[in-house]
Amino acid sequence: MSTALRAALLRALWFLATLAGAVLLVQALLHAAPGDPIDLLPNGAELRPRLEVEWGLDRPLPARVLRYLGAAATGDLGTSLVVRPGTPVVELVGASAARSATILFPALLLGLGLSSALALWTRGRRPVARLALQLATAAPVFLLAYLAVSGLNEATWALLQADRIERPAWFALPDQPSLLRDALAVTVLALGSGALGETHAAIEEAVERILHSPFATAARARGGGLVGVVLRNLLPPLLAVAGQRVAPTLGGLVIAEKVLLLNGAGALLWQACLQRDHPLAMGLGLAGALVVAGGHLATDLARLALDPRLRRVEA
Amino acid sequence: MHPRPLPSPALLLLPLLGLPALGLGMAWADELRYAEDQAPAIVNPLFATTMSEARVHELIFEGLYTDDKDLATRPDLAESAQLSEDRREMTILLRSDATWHDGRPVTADDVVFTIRAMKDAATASTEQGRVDWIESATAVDPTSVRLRFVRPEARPEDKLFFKILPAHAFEGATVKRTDPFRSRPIGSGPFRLESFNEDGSIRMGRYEEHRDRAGLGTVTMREVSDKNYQAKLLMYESLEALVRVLPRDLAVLQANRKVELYPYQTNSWWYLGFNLERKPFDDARVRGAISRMIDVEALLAPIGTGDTLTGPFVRSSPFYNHKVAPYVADEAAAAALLQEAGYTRSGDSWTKGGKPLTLRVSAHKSLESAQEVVINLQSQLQGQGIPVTVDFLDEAAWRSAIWRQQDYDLILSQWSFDRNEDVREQFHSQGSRNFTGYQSAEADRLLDLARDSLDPQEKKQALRDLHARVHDDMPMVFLWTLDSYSAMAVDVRNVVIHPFYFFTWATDWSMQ
Amino acid sequence: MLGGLLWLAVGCGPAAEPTVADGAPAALDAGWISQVVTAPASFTALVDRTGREGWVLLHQGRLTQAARAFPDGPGRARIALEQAWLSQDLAWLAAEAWPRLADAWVARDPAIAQGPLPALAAASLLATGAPVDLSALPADDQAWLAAIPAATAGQAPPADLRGPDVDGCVAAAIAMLGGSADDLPPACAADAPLRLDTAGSFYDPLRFAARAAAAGRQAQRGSGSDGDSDPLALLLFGPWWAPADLDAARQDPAGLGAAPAMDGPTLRALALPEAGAEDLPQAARERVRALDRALDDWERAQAQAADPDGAALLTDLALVPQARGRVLLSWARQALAQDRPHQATAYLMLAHDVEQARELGPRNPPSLFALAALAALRTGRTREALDHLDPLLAEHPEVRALAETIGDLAVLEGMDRQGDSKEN
Repeated sequence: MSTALRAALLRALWFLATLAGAVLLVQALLHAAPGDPIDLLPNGAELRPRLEVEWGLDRPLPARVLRYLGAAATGDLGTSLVVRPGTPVVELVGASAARSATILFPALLLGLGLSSALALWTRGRRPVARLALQLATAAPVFLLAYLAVSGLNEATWALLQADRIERPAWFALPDQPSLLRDALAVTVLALGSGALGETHAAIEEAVERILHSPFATAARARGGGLVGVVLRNLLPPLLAVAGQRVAPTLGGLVIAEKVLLLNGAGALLWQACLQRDHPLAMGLGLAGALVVAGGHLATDLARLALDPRLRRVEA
Repeated sequence: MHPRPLPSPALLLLPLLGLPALGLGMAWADELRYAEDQAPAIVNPLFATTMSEARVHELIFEGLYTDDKDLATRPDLAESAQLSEDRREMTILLRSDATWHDGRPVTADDVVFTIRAMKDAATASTEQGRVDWIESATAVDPTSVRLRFVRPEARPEDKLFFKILPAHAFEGATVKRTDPFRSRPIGSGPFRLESFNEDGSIRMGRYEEHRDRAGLGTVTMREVSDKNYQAKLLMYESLEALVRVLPRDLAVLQANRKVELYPYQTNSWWYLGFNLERKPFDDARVRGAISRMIDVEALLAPIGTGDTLTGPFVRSSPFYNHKVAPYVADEAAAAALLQEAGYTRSGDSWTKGGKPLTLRVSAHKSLESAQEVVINLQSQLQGQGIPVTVDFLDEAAWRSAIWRQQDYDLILSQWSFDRNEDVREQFHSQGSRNFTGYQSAEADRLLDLARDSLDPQEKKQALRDLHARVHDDMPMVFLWTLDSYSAMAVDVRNVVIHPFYFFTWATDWSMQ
Repeated sequence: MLGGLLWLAVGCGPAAEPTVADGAPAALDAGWISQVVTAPASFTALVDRTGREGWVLLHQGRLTQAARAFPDGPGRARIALEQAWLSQDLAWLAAEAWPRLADAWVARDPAIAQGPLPALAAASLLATGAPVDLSALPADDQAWLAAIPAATAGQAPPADLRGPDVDGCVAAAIAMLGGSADDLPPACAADAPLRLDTAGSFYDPLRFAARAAAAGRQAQRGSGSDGDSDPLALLLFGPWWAPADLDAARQDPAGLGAAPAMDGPTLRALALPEAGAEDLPQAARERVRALDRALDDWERAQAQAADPDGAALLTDLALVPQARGRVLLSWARQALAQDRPHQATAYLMLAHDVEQARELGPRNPPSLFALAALAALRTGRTREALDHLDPLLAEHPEVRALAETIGDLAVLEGMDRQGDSKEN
């Protein structure tokens, strides 16, 4: 077996293990949470004997996980119990994930783009610039979103009251669906909770590494431009950073969707957990794990394809 | 009026202010948008559980009878009715101009289907109790239906307010929560459901063929879980109605000339409930001591204006016993009671057999202002030697811990009642909502008397005696009742709010 | 961030111009509020001369305490007027509640008709001047009931009245109606039920009508004898905006003791929209909004024109909101008299200060609650009527008797219904 194929297989196995782990984790968390969906029905006490069997709540945790994995393998994720009773989970997850994707991927791209640009700018400057950047993005996602929303709303309202502007179509945030609302979500996700600081630090370090590498020295000696060298060699570390950012950005997405009333998968997961809608929460958890592990897998495979040295090292 | 030109720095921001919306956001000219804390998951009146659902049902569905604006019963889907001499049978003639939102006529079969489905155990309707007095329903012909009652009924029409469903929208005789009807309901009311949106909002459009054409073109229910933000949206004119206003927003909204406040639902009271099945709270002396450690006025002051209470009725209730004196905070009396119960004060705590007296206070996360109350309560009790831990539970955890497993020491909660103020389920030893485990033969006797008596003064007195009884037995520390208001933009015209269902007379409403 | 920038933009712009109040009607300027604001010394002089504490209590809507603080003089006469109006409102309420209770109870249990309830219900109506057909009642009852309209017309009742408890509190109330007494005997005080031989606990249905008559006479005497002719004493915190409105009210044959309707020259000059003959709450709300527009502009103009003392009085005593409340109250009274209870509800809702919802106060005078209870009863909201009466009980314990009666009615009306309760 070629080294490249082994490396790829290893990653695929890791991908499957991550999914199974996620299923176990979400099941365990739901199992441990007090109360169940039957508690939320007003006549739950009467219906409990019947529904516990019907919904599989009477089984022990391992049996539930196995049953779920078995059904999931055939593509059956069940139907929602409480949040949208009777609606297939696949349908709910698909629709909400599609909406979330329009926030998640732009946020990742924006974060990487901004960090790269800033890294090239701060490189070689005094640590003060870096520290300032890290501090500036340290605010949690929810706080950033909240401040942006209230600031924009209050200011716009003041302008409206003073008859200075016509009522903007997006007003009031985040009540109205609008590009501005989506843009805010993308921005706070790319900047908040230290995201920008972390990616910036990682990319800056990669840039430094490239600049001090033998091929950079050789390029310098040849008198060629360094920019091309840096950009060519920056792609693999950028992909690595992107892969690592998927999970924390997904976490932030739940918060951003709650605060900005974006009805994506994150907000739905929140609701599913609150209402102990096991199948829906499991479906969303699985989708999340798929995105995280898929992100890792895709970026790893891309790096393997781009950088022959990695194949050697990892093999 | 035309906007004045912007000053130069603001000009830079113009492109941002003009960012295009996706087209869904702006209100239609005759649209009323209102906020609910939580949107209904399904729209099917046979499974109504929350007030937010009841409000939506009021717009989409109709019953045989309804309230007129003076709260007198008037026919809705019914045209007229005849009660048999023995008052055990009623023949109802349906109106001929009522149609379902899909254009088909409302028939006697629909009424029979609805009653049978509600009574069917397989349906497991939450509204089953509303028809258990009806023995049978049969269609006499397409427009008349005969109801037979379990026992003679003086005014059966007062109980025929439940909503009627279209038989043709269901397969078979059983209705299920998961039927597709849940998100594509067909009613006969003045509004039809246009879209059940992914963000939880529900958009209802005027049913043009309804016999009373509504003044509003669209009613949109929006889910806004943050109550502070609800009030903001009303101020920003992004909503036209708030179902419930937080006490702290009352002053601002009252001063706002574009908003009017309407009283809505006031028969509710807060309490601290003991778990009487758990030691040491089964000991009346311990409960008495804790009651006397609590300064109720000081707990109420930070959260709003209201009346403190001594029993399970609001002060204006005919059943409130004004002769019952409140427990006043009295540290010495509390200490004496604890000593009598076998506790000794050692250092900062009370102990019995080496075990300190501690208290876990549980409250529902969604109970407004509960955090402020619980934290103040914690400091009051800890200052007098009872360490308090606090649990805020979400709905599922609450139902499981408090209702199902009775796993708590003391809960902070609230009961709301309709105008009948029936506390039987809370205090009768067989009551379905008596989760404190309160058992008193005397309370049972008084509740039975109140239920069975036909003399209003006797009933009144029985419940006043009950008030005194539960005050003395202390299954709960009765706290207060808070005022509750709805807010409505002045642009909405002809508003009269039903005291319970809110939208009963919404056909008359219109936008300026 | 962005919001901050926008704020900056607002800050840089030209300041918003104050709303010009030049449209404020001159008629309002002739009122007592302008007098207080432009010449605060005249207000201070009156208050100090006649007893500051009483005025403070009147401003707070605490009539019983204010009456104690004003043993005599123009303050006393003024409080008597307020008491007469409140008692009249409560007498109306009694005349609504008693017949409804009698009808509902008899419908459920015809045996109750053998007791005193039908006669007491008839008495409550007669005391407000309503015509009642007595022929269906027993002869004994007809005799004492006939004394009520005679008493309201100024005839002293015969000394040998016989009927349910007529030797006690009901007889005393009839005597008071007729002008032979100014108060009930101590045994009839506050919330004492009548001493009836039958089952059930009933209260004197004439109490409030009798109290209204006595207080009206007292006010008439007081304002005539004192010689203090400062019209401000009658206008301050009251239902008349300007002396011209008071003069118009004096022309009313019913006298000042009759609850005032706000249709004097001042409001007529504002040319506010009428509320119409139909009971449409929207028309009432439009009328209030028109009033608010006029008053808001006018209040701003007053505040700008006033010296610091006057401006302080204007805001500290909430003079305009309080006077606005009195206008709305009289509109509500008028609407109730003309059988438009939903409009009355709208006026009262808009007058109610929800910040102190359950308390008497400058914007929540006692009549607001009495009329709200009446409007609630008239619109089928019997239980809510009790909510409205509750804030009166501390200051007016005699209202307990009325609350008990309405409570019986509420219990009766709910007997066939299944109760429901919800958590949170």
